[in-house]
Amino acid sequence: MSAHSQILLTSSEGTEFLIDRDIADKSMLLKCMLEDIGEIGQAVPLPNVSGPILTKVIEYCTHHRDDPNFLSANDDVTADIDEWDLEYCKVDQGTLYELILAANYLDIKPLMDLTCKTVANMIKAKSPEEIRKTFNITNDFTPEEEDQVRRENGKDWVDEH
Amino acid sequence: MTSSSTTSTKSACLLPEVLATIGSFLDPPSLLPCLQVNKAWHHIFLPLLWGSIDDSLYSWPTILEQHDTQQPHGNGNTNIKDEAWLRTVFTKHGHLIRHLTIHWIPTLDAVGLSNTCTRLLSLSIRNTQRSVSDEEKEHRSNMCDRGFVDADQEEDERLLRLPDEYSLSPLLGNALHPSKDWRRSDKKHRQDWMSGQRFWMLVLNNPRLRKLVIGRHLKDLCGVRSVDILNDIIAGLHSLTTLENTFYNESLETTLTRNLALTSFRSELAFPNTILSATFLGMRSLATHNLGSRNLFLILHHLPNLHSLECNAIGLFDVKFCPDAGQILEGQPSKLRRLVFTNFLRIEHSIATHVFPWLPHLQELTCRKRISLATANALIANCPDLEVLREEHFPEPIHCFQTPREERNSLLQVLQECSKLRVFDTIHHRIDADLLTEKPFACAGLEMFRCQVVVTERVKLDDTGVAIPPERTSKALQDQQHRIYDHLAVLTQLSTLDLGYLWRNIDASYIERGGPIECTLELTLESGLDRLSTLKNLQVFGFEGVDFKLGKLELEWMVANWPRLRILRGLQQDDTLPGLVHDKRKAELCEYMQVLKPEVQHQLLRLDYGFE
Repeated sequence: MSAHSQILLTSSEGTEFLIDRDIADKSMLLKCMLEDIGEIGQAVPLPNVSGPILTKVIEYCTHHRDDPNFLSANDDVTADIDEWDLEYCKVDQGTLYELILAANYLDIKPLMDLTCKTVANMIKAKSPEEIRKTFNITNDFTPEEEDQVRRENGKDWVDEH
Repeated sequence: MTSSSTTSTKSACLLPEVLATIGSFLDPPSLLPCLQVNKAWHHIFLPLLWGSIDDSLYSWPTILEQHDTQQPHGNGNTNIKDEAWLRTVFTKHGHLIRHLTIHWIPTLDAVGLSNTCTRLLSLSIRNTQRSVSDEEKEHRSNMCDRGFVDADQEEDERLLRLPDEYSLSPLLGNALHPSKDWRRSDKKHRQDWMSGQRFWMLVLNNPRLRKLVIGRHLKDLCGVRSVDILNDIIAGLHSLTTLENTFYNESLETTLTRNLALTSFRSELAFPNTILSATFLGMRSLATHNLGSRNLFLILHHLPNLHSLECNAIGLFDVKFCPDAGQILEGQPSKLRRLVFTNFLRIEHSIATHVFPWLPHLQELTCRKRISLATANALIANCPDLEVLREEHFPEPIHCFQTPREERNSLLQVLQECSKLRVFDTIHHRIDADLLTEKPFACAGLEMFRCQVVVTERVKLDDTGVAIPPERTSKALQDQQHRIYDHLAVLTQLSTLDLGYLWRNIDASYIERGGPIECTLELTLESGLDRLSTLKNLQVFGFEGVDFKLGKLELEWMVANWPRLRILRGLQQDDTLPGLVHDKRKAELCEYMQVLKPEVQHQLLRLDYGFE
């Protein structure tokens, strides 16, 4: 298989994307599929990914194209996010969630970790009520239950010294 | 995209695996609010909050200390947790814990009594804290008054008297015995014995353990009656890959034979004499105490896939350094990539001559003392893959110019010859500027340069080798500094540049050696600092102990030219040193930096070794 071979992808709206094989290989889903069935010569349909999101995903994979540590890129939980990646994630919340779903579906672990880390940073230092507001979640606890959760789950031990 | 936002917000948040991944990037203080969001989130985040418990973190020590010493509740703290609280939380959540690190006996007791921690993947008992309550102090003082011999004899009798009901199981009764410690009261002595057994019960109840750390402090709780039974218990952990055992002494060969899945083993105890006669392919990492030179080669031969070896001394007590290394290794060099050891001067030359030629794949070397010219030359000759070089020795007197110049600059050639070097972490080392600029660096990819540069134009030696301040010929001084910056400017990958270290060990030498060193870079734009504008990746810039002359202009230049700068060392007020007067100039510069770039922090170069 030539290193320069190209793959055609189709987004949910039917837009076609021609990308280099090594870019496609960043997605474990595509990599395994292409290894299993070979290049089928026709477009690979991605019904779960919209055109704008696929564009963003390709942008990420292209930027990290020659990254030797691609797969372990975001393994360090405490490490700061790289500057380019930080800029990349400066999108509205809706786009960010769609990117997570796409990374999950296409099985691109570094992108999944990056986007999840970004959401985690949005959660940090927030109260339960602030989190609910951010994510538009309804509280289904009674006040008593909520208090019990706090009491039993280390309200005391998680405090900093 | 706006129209689909709401739907995708919902669906992304509803996917439990997505939430679990997000949770893996959160620490407990951030996880706790997530648990309170709603029932679905509670279900997903609960295992993450309890998945890893280390009782030396967060508020655990405060809770456990109060509880352990059973201080009366009237000290104004209404937040005291009693034994019941501790037991309840572990009973309820013990089954969620996968990784448990214990520093406190009450944790061990609560976990043991709850009986729910049966799904552990890693278990560590580290430096356990034993409480010394008033009652204990009284007992101790009584026993001391009565004299040691009496106490020792009574202790033997006490061990015999300890009733069977305090034995948790016949197996553990045969494997262990209560610790011998006459300073403990009867009550505490019984508790210690129970706690010691509970640790081993925990091991027995967690057959899927992958990592087990048995620290030396377990000896305070119980002693070993039968090494064989303990070996059997550990050998029953079929998934065990990482073992640290400083509780009892066992030969390396037995440990590896009984635990074939092990890839990593660490012990602070010395191994008995014969070290290895069989080969173990799985071992990747070994840390141990002193090694005889022959044993070192036996290890390299019989652990052919060993990547990392840490030990104290090598061959320090050998009558003669192992002469037949080639024979033991059958001519096969080791695959070792990482070596950490104490390079005692007496033996360093032998190691350089006889060991490094067998380590052609070495990538990382950490020496706990000053690296000599012999070691540096051996690295250059034998280890082309060297990426990381660390030196952790106590700093020598600052004006140590009596040392011959070549030896003093022993590491210079490493920078000029080792092309793959990424980390040069030798802050106590000083390199003379005139030698530094003679020849270009080989390591263009260097990410950390931590080393002092002696601006030789700022120092002159008298006949006895003592440094005296020179008559300043400002032209020569400026020229030399320009050359130094030009030289450093090629290291465009640098993220850390530390050029000095402030002696911070509070003893007589502090008086003698503390304070800024005169023969250092001035760090002014006039002297050529602006030539470092190529260091676009620089995040840490350190000049502690440097007699710098930089001012606001230089700070402005740094902000403009080093976009990633996050840490400065050298402007902070050092409150760890006695007798230092508040430095107004530094305080002003700190404030100015705060205005220029608030995210830049001022930190000390704290070394995590050596200074105790």
